[in-house]
Amino acid sequence: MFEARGLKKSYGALAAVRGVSLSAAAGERHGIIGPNGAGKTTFFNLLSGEAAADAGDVFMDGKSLGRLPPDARARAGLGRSFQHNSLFAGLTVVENFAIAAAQRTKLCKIFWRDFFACKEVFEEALDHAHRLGLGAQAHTRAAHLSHGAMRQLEIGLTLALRPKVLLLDEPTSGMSPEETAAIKKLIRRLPEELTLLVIEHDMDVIFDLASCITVLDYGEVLMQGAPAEVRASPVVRARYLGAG
Amino acid sequence: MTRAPEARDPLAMVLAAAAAIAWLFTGDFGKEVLSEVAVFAIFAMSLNLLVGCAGLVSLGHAAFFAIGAYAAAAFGVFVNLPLWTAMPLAVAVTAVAAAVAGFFAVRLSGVFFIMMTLAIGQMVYAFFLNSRAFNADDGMAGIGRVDFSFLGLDSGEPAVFCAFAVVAAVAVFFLLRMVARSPFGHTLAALRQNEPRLRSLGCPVLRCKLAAFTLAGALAGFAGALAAQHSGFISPDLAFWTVSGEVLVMVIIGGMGSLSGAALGAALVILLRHHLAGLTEYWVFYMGVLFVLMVLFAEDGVAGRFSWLLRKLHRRGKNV
Amino acid sequence: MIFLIQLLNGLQLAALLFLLSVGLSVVFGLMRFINLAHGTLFMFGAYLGVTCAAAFDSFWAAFFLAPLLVAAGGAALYGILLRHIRRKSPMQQVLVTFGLIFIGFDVVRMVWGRFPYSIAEPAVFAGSVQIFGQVYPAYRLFLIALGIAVMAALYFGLEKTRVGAMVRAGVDNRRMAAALGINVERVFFFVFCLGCGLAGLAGVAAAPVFPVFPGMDMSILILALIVVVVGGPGSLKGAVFGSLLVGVADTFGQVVFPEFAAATIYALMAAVLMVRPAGLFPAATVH
Repeated sequence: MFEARGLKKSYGALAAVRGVSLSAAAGERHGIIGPNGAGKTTFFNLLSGEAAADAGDVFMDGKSLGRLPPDARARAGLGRSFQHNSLFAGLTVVENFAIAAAQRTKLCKIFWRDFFACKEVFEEALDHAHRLGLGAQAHTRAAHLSHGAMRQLEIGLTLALRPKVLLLDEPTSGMSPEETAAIKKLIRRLPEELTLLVIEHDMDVIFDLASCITVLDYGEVLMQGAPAEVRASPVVRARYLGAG
Repeated sequence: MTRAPEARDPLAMVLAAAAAIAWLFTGDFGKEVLSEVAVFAIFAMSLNLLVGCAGLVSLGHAAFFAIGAYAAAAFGVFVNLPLWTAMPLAVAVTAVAAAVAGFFAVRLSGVFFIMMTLAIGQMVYAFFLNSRAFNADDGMAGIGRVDFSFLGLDSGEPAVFCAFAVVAAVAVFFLLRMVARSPFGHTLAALRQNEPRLRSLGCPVLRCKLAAFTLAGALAGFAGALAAQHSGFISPDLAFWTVSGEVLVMVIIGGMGSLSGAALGAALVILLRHHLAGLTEYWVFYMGVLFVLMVLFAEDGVAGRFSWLLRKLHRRGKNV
Repeated sequence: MIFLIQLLNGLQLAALLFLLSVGLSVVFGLMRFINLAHGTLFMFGAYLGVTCAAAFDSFWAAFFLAPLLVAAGGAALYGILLRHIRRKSPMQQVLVTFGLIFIGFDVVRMVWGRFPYSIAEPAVFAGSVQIFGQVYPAYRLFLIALGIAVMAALYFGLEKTRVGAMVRAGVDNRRMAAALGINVERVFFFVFCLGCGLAGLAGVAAAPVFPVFPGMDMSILILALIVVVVGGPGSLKGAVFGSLLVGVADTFGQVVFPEFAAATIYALMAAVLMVRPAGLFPAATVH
């Protein structure tokens, strides 16, 4: 069970998020949509601890995350991907995954072994790269990847954390239809017990994947419900889906 | 961060060979200079862990150099401990001081971190300058050296102390190379590249930075403890900002991120200073110019140029 | 009434620190660029003041000429060096200005030698004034008044003029300001030169009170950096309150705990940063 209660955040005079609550059962696929500037990414930042909320709290399995910093939230099982790729650009794909795995397994505290000789993380990393379809580029530096592959690496890094709750911020942004299809497949193959919150602009993707949708507008929840309800709602149609 | 250039380190071998040759064929003065190079190589390599690996530019690293020197001297002079005991104690004291300073510093990033470390350095300088217990600006003299009489050697001999300092520098080199190649070292490198991402992967970044800051401080303290023995005299000037600046110059001239580069930078700056000091009164000026030019035009430093040259020669050798 | 005297001394130091830190702070707010050679400019202001005062046999000639010369030097520095490193990483920019400190230190020794100088205060302020039964040097009161006057002028300039509006827009959001057609680079150049001039003014104004010697740059630079960090970079308000806090705390620290005089300031800074990592009045969001 993952829950956000009354999250608020203002930047100066601008109230970016004004009291958003949301709950998702274990294994739920929850979509978040809303026009540009609706506060979606700020909301994710509040969930993951990148920004400190002015009010409200986040609960994982009933435990308050309070003012925990992002790294502590990640260790508690909350993983996120970023809207703009955030990678270790100078490292190869495998090294990116190995660094991620080393954080999860606490290997990062070890200062006497040779990192490249740590088979446990490198085998996992290579395996992970193959499962994500990045096997062919495993030894390419992240900076030299195509946009689609970078996006896969971005999501893959977060998955290497093996989160219980996964926040994906526009996973298919800037992708070709084929690449989008690949990401959709990837999301469908995620473990069933994983709770997923996904911000997405591609309506086909979101109505296809999500079992529940939250519509944000001006930092507030416009409506929450099943995809069919949201699609049928006259308010959402008027405000967001436009003529479509 | 790829494996190949790390595995073999021709520069380190060249430096080790040069040190051996200098030790064998120079007179007492040459050996004194070599000792100084070895001490500053340790100091510069310790700063390289912060600047080169973790991307934390410290302008106050001399604080820990001075604390190490004062602690070693104080344990020797006030408590009458032999230096074999005083030195590890001095390193421990410095580690604690670095951990306390680091607690404040690592919370800040970028320019704020730089300013905080600069302030820490000047604070330590002011502390020693004003403390009557440590003779304020007169400093302390008459500091002994580690005792090698159990080997039948006299550490007052330049050759003996010089060999000791060089061996210590080599040991620190291997220690820091081990750290740089470890999962911890690679985590620091990842932190330099993209701190927010590393944090979102669950890395306790503050603790990692603090660990690096403490280790770097402790090793700088070790260098300070050696420096106190080498000159037999210490003063608050050891903590002055110019010393922090100079050691940063060494790291940058050598090439940020290259451990052997930091040692090379130390050797170049020390030799240059001894050389220029004979020629001109204003060697600080020339060092400043060199520093600015290195930052502007050779980001990878002399070590980077060296490996570039080697690669080029290697390629040419293949083509022939 | 030792308290009053110390308070005045603190205000006088605060006035100097304000002149020095306001340029640093606003330039940082605009461009994320911190000029560690700012203290060097202060030192040059003092030395050029010494030379001008001797050449024209007048304090006031030095008082007006030295800041202009330093501002011109700042413009030259910008044209020759800083303009070309704008695209480098912030770290490299800081390191270049750090290298300039070394160069400036020896240039001063080459030109003026290593012995300390000072300037005689102008005849108008040579005497002392009675305040609440205490005798206090008139020149020091003039320094306080100078700080207040510059603060008022800058406040007016920032809040009421077009250029000031551009500067505030640039500090607030550089990209947005550029999109609105403001030439941020030119605003930066203007602010940078003004900051250099104020540093020079601080230098020449300090010369009758503090000894002029090679190395005077660093002690004041550290204090100015602390002001910027404590006050919060980018804002006039931050520079004002930071200067007051640091100036007064430093002065009282020396009286109350002479053994730990230097530590008071750093303890203050550490305390502020622990509670507010971006300073007391941050104008620019710092990432």
